[in-house]
Amino acid sequence: MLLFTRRFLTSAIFFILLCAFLFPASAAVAGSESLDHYIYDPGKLKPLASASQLKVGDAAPDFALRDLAGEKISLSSFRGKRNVVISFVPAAWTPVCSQQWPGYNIAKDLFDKNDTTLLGITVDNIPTLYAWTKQMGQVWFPVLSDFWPHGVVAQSYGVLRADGMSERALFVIDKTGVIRYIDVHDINVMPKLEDLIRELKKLPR
Amino acid sequence: MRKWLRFWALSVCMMALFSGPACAGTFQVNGDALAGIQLPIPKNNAEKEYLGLSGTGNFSLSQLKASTLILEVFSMYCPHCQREAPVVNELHGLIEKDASLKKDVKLVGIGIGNTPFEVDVFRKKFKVLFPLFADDSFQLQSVSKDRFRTPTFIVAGIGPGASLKILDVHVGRIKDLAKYLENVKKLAAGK
Repeated sequence: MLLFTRRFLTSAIFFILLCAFLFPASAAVAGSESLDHYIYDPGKLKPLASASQLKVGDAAPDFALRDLAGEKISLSSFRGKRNVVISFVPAAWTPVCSQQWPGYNIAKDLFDKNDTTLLGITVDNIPTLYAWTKQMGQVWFPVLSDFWPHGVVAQSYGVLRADGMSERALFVIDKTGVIRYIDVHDINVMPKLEDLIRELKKLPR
Repeated sequence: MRKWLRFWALSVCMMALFSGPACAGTFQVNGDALAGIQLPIPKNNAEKEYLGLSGTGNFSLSQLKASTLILEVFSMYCPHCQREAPVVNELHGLIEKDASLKKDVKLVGIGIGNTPFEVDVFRKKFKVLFPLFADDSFQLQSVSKDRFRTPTFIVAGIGPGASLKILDVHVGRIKDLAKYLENVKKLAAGK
């Protein structure tokens, strides 16, 4: 019988030893950086695929979405306390999005100087957002899932695309709940940080 | 005999499959194209002095008063670059503490796709002491046919006639700083 021939056993042992050397070689490439290989590149997308009806001066639509701990966070809970920046990004595990929030992650002092908190929202589900933000190295701001009902908050802000993702959009909302700045950006391009900070500096103290 | 050959053929295929990730290609950088990149001469006198530059306007990395350049291509938005910042700071510190390296080796960072404001956020956040430049128009991408991943570390020899000879390209974080610095020393001595 093949299984128990001397030749087979010798080959099997040799093969197992070889794999024992090769697996560490693969693992040497693995590690947190190799999660970059899981970033999905969707190619160049249509820059905008929605039409928001909101404008500066409108009341920001209130919402309550779950964060990564499953707690509900409402926009109105910040009324009278903090200005809010809502950062909608299209999708977890995609190129520009995977860098935008890490950028805001090291700019916390600029938000704090302007008495502003940041809410990061995507239409992904919580487990996806958990894994993705963990790969970034954790973020200081609440990350909220607009997964179900799918994209209802993105829809209320007029930034839900026909493909089910949200636009890459920033809304600055003051402490009275009024929208002070809207940037529905080319989805393929990173918005400049200084443009956002400039708008935060204009907010009343 | 046939079963034996099939078994070994399958083994070889499995080995090829598992060794794939360990056999990534090298990232190519064109030294002439890199020498053609124009950067603004820093207004900061300490940085000017470090780079051996004077006056105003633009400069090429091939004009630095040094024999060897280490260029870190980074992005303020890149979480790996953020985690790597203390290591690169340490690299800078080790170079500055070594009398011969300090004279021969200059460390410069270029924030690919970043604005000056964004580079400044990175500089302040991580207390970076070596010169950093912004490349918000992605001109640096012209030095390679492959898309830059960040961080990428390029070691180049600064030669006569305003030329740059690429000596080493390291994509990703530096896992062993001592080993990396030893390699830089050898490259700086051997070119």
